[in-house]
Amino acid sequence: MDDKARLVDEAAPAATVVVPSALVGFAGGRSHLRVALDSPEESESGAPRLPLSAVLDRLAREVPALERRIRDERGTVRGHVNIYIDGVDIRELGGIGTVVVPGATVHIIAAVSGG
Amino acid sequence: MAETLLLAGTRKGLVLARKRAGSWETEPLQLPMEAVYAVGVDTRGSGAPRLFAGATSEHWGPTVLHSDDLGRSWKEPDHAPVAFPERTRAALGRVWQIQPGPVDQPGVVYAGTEPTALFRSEDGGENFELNEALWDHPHRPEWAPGFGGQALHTIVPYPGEPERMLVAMSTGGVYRTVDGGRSWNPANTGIKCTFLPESEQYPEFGQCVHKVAPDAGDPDKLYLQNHNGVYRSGDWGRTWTEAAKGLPAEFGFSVAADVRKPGRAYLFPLTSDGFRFAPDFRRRVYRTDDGGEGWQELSEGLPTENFYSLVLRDAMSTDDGDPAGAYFGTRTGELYACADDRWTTVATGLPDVLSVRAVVLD
Repeated sequence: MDDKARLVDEAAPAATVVVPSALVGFAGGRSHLRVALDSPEESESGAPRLPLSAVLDRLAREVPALERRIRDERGTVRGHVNIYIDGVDIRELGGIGTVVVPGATVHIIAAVSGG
Repeated sequence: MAETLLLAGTRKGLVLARKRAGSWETEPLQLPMEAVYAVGVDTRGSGAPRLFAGATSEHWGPTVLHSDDLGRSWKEPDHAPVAFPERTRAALGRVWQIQPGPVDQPGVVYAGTEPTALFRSEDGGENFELNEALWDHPHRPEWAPGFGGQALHTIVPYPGEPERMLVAMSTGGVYRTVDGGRSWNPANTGIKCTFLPESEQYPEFGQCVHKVAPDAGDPDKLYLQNHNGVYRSGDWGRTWTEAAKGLPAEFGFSVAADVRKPGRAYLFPLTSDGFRFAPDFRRRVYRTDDGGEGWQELSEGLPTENFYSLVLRDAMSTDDGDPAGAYFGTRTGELYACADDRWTTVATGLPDVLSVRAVVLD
């Protein structure tokens, strides 16, 4: 299975990553990226899903200059970067392991703690 | 007439200034909101010098960019140019120093980082690899951070002998390799740690060395600005002796050596670690022309009103001209250039100046 982020396949089950304006240039000028969620891992219902870490891994393959600004080389989300899934801070969910389902919106936002 | 290009890395971006026909022009700030702790100039190629900027965004992390068109545009690889390997479980905090290798090692560029580490590139500074031996050094657990963080801030390759190199870190002090980086040994004999009990003030390592600069005439001669204390060495760091004669104070961060004229180096003294102001609150640079035997004030042309800022460790430099110009920037965003023993204001109103380099263009 092609494990690259499918950023243009409208038919694939996917989540949308909203890119902060400061990083749009590293996303090929795109402020919204669709990331395919098809995976061998399926829920009991058979619906595709991926942990957030895997969604970011797919970004790393497709837009590495963007992804390395979200996570450091350990795969840790940078200290002054907040990530929300459908409006909820991932720290209130399962962190980087939070499951992302089709149709979800993942916001990458610069934290005020960073200035 | 030759043009001089001056790079000033600041806390909020990169500023370039160009001297043409005797006057300086400062260009608009680039890399906005990136703290540029390290700038570098590689003149070894046949074309225009390659410029480097070690930039850190508080949000989006650190990177190293390069320019091959004298700063008009900047590039970086998609992947992180400097990154710690997985086994280290470390992440790059900041690049503190970018140092091209000697003339006889084209393509080799070094980076010093926080956490304290040395990286080496063999492709002109686009991809770097960790020096494992220094990372795995048994002294590492005892290398403590200074006020500005724990970093490898000085890299001094040895011309003509690629197996030899000297680095300096805060804290930790000076370390040297004679086998191409496969092993490293401390070289701090004679350097005092004033922040330790009196009976413990000359340890083998752990000094808070702020900066080391090599003399133009002899790579075994070195100048060192310590956390309290100015030193020099005549044996490539094997031993150090105090060299503060003529200075109004011995604290400071920067030392820069003329790359053409043997025996010439520059300092910006501060009163003490507990009083980090210039003596008498005056902008005063001190220069030696005799290898550190004595220092003399060199301040003509600098503003005389009270000055409450300072010069950081990498914010003083010289160019490669003949005679060489000298440069420094301050935490209050002032940038100065010295030619013919007189300082000229290049810019004011910049963010804190962190790193300065200059090159004379043909």
